[in-house]
Amino acid sequence: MGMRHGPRGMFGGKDKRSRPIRVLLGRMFGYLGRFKRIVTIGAILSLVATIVSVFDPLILSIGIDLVADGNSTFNTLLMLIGLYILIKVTAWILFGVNTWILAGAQAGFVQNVQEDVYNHLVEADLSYHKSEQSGNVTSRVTTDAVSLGTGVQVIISFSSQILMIISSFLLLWFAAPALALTSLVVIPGVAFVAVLFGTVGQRIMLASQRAAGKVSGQIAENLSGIHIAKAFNREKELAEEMLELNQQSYKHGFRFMILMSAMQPLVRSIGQFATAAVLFVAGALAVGTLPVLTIGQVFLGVILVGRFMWPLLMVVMSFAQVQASMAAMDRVSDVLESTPSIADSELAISLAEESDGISFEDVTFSYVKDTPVLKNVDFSIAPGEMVAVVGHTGAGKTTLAALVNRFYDPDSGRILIGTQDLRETTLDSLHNTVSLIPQEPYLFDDTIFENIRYGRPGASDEEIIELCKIIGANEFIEVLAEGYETIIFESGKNLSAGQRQMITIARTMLADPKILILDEATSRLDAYSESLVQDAQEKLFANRTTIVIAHRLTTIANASRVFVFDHGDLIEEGTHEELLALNGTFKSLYDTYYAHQGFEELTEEAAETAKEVVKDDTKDAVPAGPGMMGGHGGMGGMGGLGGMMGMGGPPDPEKMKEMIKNMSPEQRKQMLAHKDMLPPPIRELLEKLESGEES
Amino acid sequence: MASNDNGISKTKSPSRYMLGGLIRHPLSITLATILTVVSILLVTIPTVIVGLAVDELEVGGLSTQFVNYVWLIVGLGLLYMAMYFVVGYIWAVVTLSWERDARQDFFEDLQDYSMTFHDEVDSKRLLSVAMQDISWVRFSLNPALRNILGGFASIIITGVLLSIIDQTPGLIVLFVIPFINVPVGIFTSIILVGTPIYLLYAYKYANAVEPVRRQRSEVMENLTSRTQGVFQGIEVVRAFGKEEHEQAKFGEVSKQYEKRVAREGQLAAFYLPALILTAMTTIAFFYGGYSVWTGIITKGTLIQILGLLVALEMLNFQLPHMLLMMRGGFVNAQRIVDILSWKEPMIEPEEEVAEINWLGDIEFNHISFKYNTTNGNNDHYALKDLNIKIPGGYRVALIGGPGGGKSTVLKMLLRLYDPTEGEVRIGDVNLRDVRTSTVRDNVGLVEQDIFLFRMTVHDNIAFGRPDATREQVEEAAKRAQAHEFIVELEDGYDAMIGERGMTLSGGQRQRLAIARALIQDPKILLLDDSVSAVDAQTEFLMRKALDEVMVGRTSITVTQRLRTLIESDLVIMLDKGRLIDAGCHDDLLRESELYRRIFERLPGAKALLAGVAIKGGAQ
Ligand SMILES: Nc1ncnc2c1ncn2[C@@H]1O[C@H](COP(=O)(O)OP(=O)(O)OP(=O)(O)O)[C@@H](O)[C@H]1O
Ligand SMILES: [Mg+2]
Repeated sequence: MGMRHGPRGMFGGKDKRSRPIRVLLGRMFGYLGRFKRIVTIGAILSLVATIVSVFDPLILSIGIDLVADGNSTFNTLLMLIGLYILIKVTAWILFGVNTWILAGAQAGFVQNVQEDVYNHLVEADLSYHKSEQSGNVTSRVTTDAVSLGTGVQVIISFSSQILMIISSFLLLWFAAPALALTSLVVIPGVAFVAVLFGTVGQRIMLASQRAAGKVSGQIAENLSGIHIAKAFNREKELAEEMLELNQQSYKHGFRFMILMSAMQPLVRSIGQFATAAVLFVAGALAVGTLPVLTIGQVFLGVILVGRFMWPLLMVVMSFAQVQASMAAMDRVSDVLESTPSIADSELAISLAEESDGISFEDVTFSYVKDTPVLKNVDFSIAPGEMVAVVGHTGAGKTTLAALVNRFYDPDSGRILIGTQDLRETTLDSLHNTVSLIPQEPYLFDDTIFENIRYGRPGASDEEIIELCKIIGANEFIEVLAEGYETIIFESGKNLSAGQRQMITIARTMLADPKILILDEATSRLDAYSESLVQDAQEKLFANRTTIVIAHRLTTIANASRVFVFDHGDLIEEGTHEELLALNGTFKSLYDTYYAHQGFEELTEEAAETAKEVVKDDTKDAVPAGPGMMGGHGGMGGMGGLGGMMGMGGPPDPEKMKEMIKNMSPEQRKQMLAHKDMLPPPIRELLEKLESGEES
Repeated sequence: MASNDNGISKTKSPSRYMLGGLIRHPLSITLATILTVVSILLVTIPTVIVGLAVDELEVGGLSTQFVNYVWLIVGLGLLYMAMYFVVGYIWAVVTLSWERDARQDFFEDLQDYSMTFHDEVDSKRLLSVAMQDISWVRFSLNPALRNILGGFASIIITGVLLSIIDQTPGLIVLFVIPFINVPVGIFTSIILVGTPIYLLYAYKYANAVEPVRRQRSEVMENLTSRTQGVFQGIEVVRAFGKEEHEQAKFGEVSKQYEKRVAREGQLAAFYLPALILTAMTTIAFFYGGYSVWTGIITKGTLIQILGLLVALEMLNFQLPHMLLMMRGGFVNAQRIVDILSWKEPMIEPEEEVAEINWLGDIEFNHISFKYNTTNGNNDHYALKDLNIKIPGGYRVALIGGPGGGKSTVLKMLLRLYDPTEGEVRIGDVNLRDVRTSTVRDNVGLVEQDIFLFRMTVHDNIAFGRPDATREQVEEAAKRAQAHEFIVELEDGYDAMIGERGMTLSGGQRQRLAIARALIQDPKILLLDDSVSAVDAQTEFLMRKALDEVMVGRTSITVTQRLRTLIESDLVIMLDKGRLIDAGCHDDLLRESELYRRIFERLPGAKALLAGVAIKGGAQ
């Protein structure tokens, strides 16, 4: 089903309906069918009420004739009055009951549509959500469903108006056929009005909705960029742009309104012409030697023709409303008829307990046809292995994460967890096993507690606090005015970027997944906080299959293997050392990265300073304290050759060996603790020495 | 709603707000009202004419007089059509232009409110007020008020016509209005007594809608915001397999909404005033019938009386609906006024300090700052007793953990917020004494999470200087290292940027934002550069860009880059809103335990320190 449309504003909608009205009405009645009993009762009540209420002018007209003849008694008058009251009150009660129960049915109808549409949307393909603004998707559930509700109401009252018109006409027909025929003079007029509305009216209405949609879109955008408008003093210009859109919307709205305002006088004067016509014909028939009509019937004719007019006016006026709700039904049908391409297949089974590790077998994937984002990617990650994925922007790293979560299916090739193809496992079990920390932290408008608990609904407050302590989030959450009960507002407007990210990390860690994917999960954190998170990860997720996506090389330091992606290709793969030795893309990434961290420009003086500091630190290596940055003690005394990488040309191997041999075992150990910072040859040497000594 | 006690606000009453548009065009509305009365008269008179015609029929048969009556009805119909169209036209102009202006004013007011306001009020709510609530207020004027006025006119005219009939000799006179000596009979009394009762009940009926409508709006708001939240975060929902959970939650909210909708719909049932009208007609029928029976009035007159009252009954079709609409509109107006009566705590100085040395020293004088939160009582300080002096022209680096207050410091300097306590001084001028627009002309910001508008690349860069030429834009883009990737875009500088800059990578967005800040040539440049999700290549380009742009300005950079720290003239460390330490890199490294701990965590620092140590030791 084609669910991709361009961006639109809040009230936006496609202009052309893609389904015939019959189908749309059918679907609408399908929903109403769920309230069969109520609707049937309503219909019967409404029928009875209409018939009853049609008779009251008849009573009046009989009354007129009776009193005029002079041969009636006072009692007959009283009786007629009693009858009149009876009819009126009965009709009032019947209509009241009818309105009452139909209001319930209508509200239920809206709720049913909303729930259906919502449930579909929650399961709709991610590509749909990505291609639409979230406001647009939401309006399927809100604006459109409400518009459908109004449509139902209009259709219900439409039918009772029609009933009213027909029964009035029939009554007139039985009382005086000639008058009934005369009343038909209104038809051309009414037909004209109806056609006018169906064509011009609808066009104008759509144009005015579109214009309003633009205004709404613009307001939405300007509100979310308000801080920028302020920072750049652009309020005035934005207001001017707004004024223009507003003026457009006014222009179209005005046309529509004029049309609407023309309706009432049109229909009512048509009614007045009909009155004149009926009066004339009735007059002609009521006089002469053989009067066919009584004066009371003349009255009846005039009253009944007048009675046509209001229901007619309502019917014609509701045309626009019906059109609008048919358009809404059409959009809603788009959603309801679409079947998500990603759903559990019939043969899907749960992911087995022992399934672990991820393999990509010749996977190709594209968002847009013919521009593959991943090309023939082939790799496998052993259970419990931690793998890093690096590459330039746009290399396809986030896509890779999305595929493992089965947000999309590959165009070709297979993705396996253990030996199970993702397409043959249930989504539920997949998402219980795999968890992703996405690049853009997203939080719900709820308390911090609830946001973290989203990862595991049963978790107790204590567990959450405990976890936050480990990753270093507790510190800042505690000091917030409401602590963990602080309500997050508009997906995190009242938190700092780093705080948002910490909470998403806590959420995923709480979920305790077997397979963890971190997509730039710590990019908004300072180095210190990041190291805390890494420590926590090491502690809590040791020996779990993990994919880490990052630009910052420190983030991926713990990975056992690195995959390098470039424009959708997996171009290099191996351990840090292997890749550095390869002297390829990773090497150049690595070099550029460190080059820009700045130490090649370190002055002699600064180096001296640092050296002294390091020496100092050796003496008073402070244990991790409760202080703010209760760090991991000093790194004093650490000897190493890493500096040579930064300090100039390639290190002289002989000299290196010399140095390393001169080191104390402790120094070497400490160097090894940071071995990922060292060039591979030196690391190897160190390791060799270390193991040699131990054996 | 809002909770500031020490600000200014422009409060209005909801009814004044509602009628604001009408009051602004007193002549048009008076004219329209007069025309309404006249045109209602034109549709009411025919009922009288029908009565006259019937009497004529009985006396003179199908006389010319009778035929004239018929033509009169047609003529009046035509006249009515023209006249009522004019009425509709006037109302359309007046109310729609009110709606347009109200929306524009509302938007401009929102823009003028300081960030404190936008922190407190949900932008989704603002949007729905700007669109729906304002529309509903307009509905309550047109068609609601317009039709209600028409209804009143019908009642009054009917009353007047009935009182004329009451003058027929022989009918009971209940009392005589003193001074003008007009006798009041049964038919007039029906209107005189019935109408107030009718209106009283109609008013009660309409009033009942208020709480229901309010609740309905609130539930709808809740439903919208939840739904939107879930769709925005659909990836999170999926990743945790929470679809069913969310569906169940939605089911609950939508059931609540269902209840409110049903409740509001049910209000329309049993419209009591309808019975009152019936009672009025019945009495008239009874007394009229009796009078014809006794021969005091003619059949025609009875037809007139009944015709008039039956026509009045037609009001039942429209009036209840319109009354609800009007009363509901009042609720909406209340919501709008609530927002507009927010008290603005940020006050622009009456008179601005004339000469400000923007390159002078920046001083934070015992600054404490609290964000206002939705529920009002916030005792969490984002900044606490911050006291520091930044010499003009310095390059400053700002570091600290998540929520340390770094971004907040930058926002203070842009005067997006005023400090809760203490003062910010630039070149020895208190920022409170400088207009926000002047501050923002001289201070440029590259924010943490870059926001780009749905405009072309050119317009986004030229955002702060709409009159900039293409050359100037390109120049800025080049200096920000953005030119190269821009020319590679399909439409180059005319490429449209998608919602929230979705189609550009983080690094590209940041470079556009740098260009956007540069084109303003700010004296003080603020960079919230703490997102590290850019690749090494981009980082290199960005460093180049930043080096370039910091020359000749005071710059403050929030950073995680080692190199920035080393190159800065001053490093400021913040934690949980407090100043931990400040000084140049070398000094800090030597003197500050905490700085060393942070420093060693920075990428590359370990290797660096290690290298230094070895080198030193080897010599
Ligand atoms: N709009 C806001 N409303 C309420 N509280 C806020 C708002 N913005 C920030 N805060 C709070 O103020 C404190 C400081 O936030 P700030 O954004 O200045 O931190 P930061 O140092 O920039 O952190 P990060 O490194 O994560 O960006 C935090 O505790 C945060 O929760
Ligand atoms: Mg920040």
